[in-house]
Amino acid sequence: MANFLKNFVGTKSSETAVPSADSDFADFADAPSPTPVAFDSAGATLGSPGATATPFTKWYNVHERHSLSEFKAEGAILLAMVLVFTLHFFGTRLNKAKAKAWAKAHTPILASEFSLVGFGGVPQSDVSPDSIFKQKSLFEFSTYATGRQNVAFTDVKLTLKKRFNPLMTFVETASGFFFESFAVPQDIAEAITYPFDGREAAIVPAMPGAAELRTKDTKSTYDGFVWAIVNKENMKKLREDRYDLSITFTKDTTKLPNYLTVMSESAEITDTLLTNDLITAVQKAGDLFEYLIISDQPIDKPTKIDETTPRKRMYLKYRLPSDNNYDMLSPLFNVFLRFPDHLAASAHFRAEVLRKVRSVRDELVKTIQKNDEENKAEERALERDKARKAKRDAELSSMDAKTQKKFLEKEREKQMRKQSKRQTMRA
Amino acid sequence: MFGLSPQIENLVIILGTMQIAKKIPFDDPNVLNMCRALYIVSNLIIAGLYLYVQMKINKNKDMTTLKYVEPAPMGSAEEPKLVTTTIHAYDSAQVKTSFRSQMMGVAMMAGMHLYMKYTNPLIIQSIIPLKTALESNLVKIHVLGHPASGDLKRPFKAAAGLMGGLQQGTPQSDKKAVEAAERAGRGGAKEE
Repeated sequence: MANFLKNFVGTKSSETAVPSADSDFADFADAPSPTPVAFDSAGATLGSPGATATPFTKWYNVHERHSLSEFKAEGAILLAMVLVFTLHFFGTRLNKAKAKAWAKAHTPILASEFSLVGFGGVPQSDVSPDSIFKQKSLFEFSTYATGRQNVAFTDVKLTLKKRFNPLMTFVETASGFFFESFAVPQDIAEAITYPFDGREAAIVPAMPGAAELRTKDTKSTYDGFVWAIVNKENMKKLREDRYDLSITFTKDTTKLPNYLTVMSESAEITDTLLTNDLITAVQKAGDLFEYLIISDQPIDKPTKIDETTPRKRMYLKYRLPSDNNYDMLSPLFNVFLRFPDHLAASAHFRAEVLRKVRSVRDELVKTIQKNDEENKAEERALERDKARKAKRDAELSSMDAKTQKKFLEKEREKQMRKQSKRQTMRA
Repeated sequence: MFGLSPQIENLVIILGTMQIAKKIPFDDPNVLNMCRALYIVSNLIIAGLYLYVQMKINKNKDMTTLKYVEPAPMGSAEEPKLVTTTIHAYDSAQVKTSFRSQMMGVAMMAGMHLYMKYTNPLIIQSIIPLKTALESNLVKIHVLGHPASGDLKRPFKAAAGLMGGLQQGTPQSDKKAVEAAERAGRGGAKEE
């Protein structure tokens, strides 16, 4: 401040400044009272009306005081922003195009199998592939179809790579390489079918005239079991992640190519379900196929009794081809959608087979029951101890000093006797 | 080499190089840079070896099913776990593990050398990992062309090191053990 003022008033003030006794405070003592100077001497810098020849000095000319080179950081930020936004724009476009390609290939199949496709809520005669997907996020698309014999509804979910964020994709890929717990990002289609399994009456809303229709086709029930065709590359992870697959045998069959295997609970089930249609469709899908699972057990291992009630589901998962050509994959999807018919028609097994299947489930129920009982017994024992202690404390507090002493002594003796007994028993 | 187990050989090499390392004048920047170059070259050779093995594995793509029972880790009450995989996936996982452990070693070494300024381990660390890599089962099978039988039969046995007594048991692949564990329903257990 003092310096500025000095400059402002010219050099004279510094000359006139009298050094005070305390030299540290010299500036503050003298600066606020500069000696008045003649107006003419400062006239040039103040820009008096008389000196209009140079109306703009460096003080006012921004372009003379600053240059673009001072804004390098801002430039870099702007450039990065442009890059991020373009990547985002093109990435989302790519993901949308990918989902649309899937929809284009599969909408006819879905529309021919289901009366309602997409989230419109009203069955339409011709469904456009543009409208079937609901975009959950920039990389997740889902659709839904309902209104079919034997099937309550089918969910389809596409999970794509995060193309709009290459940095994240790179980090995820790298961490997928170093840690097994991180999944490498891939373009994936997952479909889950929820078969009626004979519970049409409970699920379908009642409509006039629907009851008569229903009485004819109550044969949508089929036996509960777990059965799967799995790509061998992932069978280790699947077995670890899913409870339902971990109660099956893994057995290669000669009917399938060597990169696929069957997980089944019984050979008879495999014979019934491994139809020629399915084999050709799966073979056609090739390496992109991940799994087809027919299950009546939960994915997470049940810890409570009511979690063990069988819920029948069908799962299909495959990777999306990079060239968006679904000629090889749509037959698989078609077979998957029609498979509930096959299940309802022929998945009924001999009592011996089912006994084997059921024994595993019963065993789990039994272990859960046992665990529950043990927990309860422990709780009860804890409560009993607590009650006993409370009773003793109450008794103790109601006694006078002498009896208290006696009581404590007695207690100690009892404990001693108990301990010595235990020791002799051990010896 | 001399009919000794690899562990003893390693021990001899470590002790030997430690003596030699004492004599090396690390103060000379030329010598220091040469040691660094040696370390880097050795690691590049190892990386190349593993990449080559991975390439071979992918080329063979042996999709034979491999089932074995993984013993429960020490001190846990869990039952042994069945692993169902393929030879291709098993080998890939093994290469990944060794690659990862080598990367860990390099990171450790970088910390020791650049931050704590230790130079001696550079020499040991450019010999031992290379030797381990060359002696690893996968290199024996895929590079040196040994048949995958006997000691090289998958699943590989954990190397019986000096800590052998403390380590977990070896994986079992006999039919009886596999069948006992196959339908145990271990999957999907929620971990808290």
